[in-house]
Amino acid sequence: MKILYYSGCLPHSKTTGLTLPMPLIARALGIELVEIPNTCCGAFFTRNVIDMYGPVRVLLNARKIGSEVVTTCALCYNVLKQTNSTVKADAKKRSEISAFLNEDYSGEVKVYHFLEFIRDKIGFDKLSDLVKVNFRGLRIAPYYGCLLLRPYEEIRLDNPENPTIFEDFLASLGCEPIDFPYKIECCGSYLGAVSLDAVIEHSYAIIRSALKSGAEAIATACPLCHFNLDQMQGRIKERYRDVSDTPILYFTQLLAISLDIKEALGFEQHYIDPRPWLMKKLST
Amino acid sequence: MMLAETDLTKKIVEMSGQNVFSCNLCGKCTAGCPISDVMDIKPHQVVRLVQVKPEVLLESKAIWLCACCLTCVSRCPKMIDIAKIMEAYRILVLSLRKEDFVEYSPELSSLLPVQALVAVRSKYSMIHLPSYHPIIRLKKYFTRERLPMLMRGMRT
Repeated sequence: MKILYYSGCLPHSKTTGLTLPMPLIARALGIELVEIPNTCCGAFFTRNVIDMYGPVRVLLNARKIGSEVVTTCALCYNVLKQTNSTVKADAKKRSEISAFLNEDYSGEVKVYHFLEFIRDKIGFDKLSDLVKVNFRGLRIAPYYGCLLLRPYEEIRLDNPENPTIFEDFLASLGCEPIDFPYKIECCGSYLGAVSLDAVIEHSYAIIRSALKSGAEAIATACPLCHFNLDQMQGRIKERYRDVSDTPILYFTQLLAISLDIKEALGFEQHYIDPRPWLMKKLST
Repeated sequence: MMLAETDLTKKIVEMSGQNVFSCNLCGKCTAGCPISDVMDIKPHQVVRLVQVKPEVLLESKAIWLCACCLTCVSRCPKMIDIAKIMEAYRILVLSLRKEDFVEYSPELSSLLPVQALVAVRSKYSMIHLPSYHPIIRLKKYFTRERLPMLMRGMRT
């Protein structure tokens, strides 16, 4: 199977774990990755026409090679999908965009998140057959954040109030998915620029809620959620004493470990290094 | 009682495309909003204020604190997109003030990841507004006297 793959700015991010294991994962799953040029998607969807040139350019690049594009980043996924539906619904914006880019785009490229791709094209039951290292009931809390779920009309990945795709994914790797009340709550994303307090408070609430529900680690699909929960943990611990070191992992890192990929996982960039915890859990 | 429909209300309704008058003030948006505890004006109050006193929001902190997580949108029984109302206000204020809301400082760019910085650029900066379109700005800058300068730059 051949897929178009868009990694965006993630290879230049603070934690590259979301895209770093992707070539090896693709090889293990028997997929051929075709990378499209890494032009920026804009990271944040606004209804301004000028901000839509970025995502439309990404989709135009994808259209030259194929009709479906896969991304691992929740931000890219959200922006590209909302751009698609805006271009379809708003003829005026569409004509302005095509006038600027000298190319007409009508929203025909289908955008997949890698989780969605596994669910729809590979199947979670088939994925569990491919797993080499079983996690044997590792208690992991799946944290969705906002961007995979909302706005529902445009995204339609899963139920916006009670999604299960992440739980199914973790269960197929042999983990025990922990359901916790804050799994769809916002972590504050880029609000660190205006109010660091808000980010620390919300990340604390999310981590505490996951720990109280019995989780040992949190899995996420968004680079901003990862930043707020992982890199901010030092500041959270300065303020609150009841948070113990909680490893925050990307879903691609978990998938890579379960497919017996040992190198290039990007764990050394994490604030809380998950390797000692993983070694302890996987060896016993 | 007739609601006072000022020009600003009309403008915000037009920019956001939301029918603020259908709100029944149930407060589900504020209950679900993760940022409402640090907001000076809560999301359900925002909708009400657009109806009666829209100018108050131009000075508020709430429009900048909205993280666009869209929890309010997915829970609103009247399908009002409050994030779009907040965005309309942000665009209005940025185009009136003609300056960015957040300054790029070295501390900020060393702290935040690249995705956050790009998102901050889209949300708090006026450079994406139609009046600050890069080509229009270039055209304004490279007047007849400055044009030879541009040609020299292209040749080298």
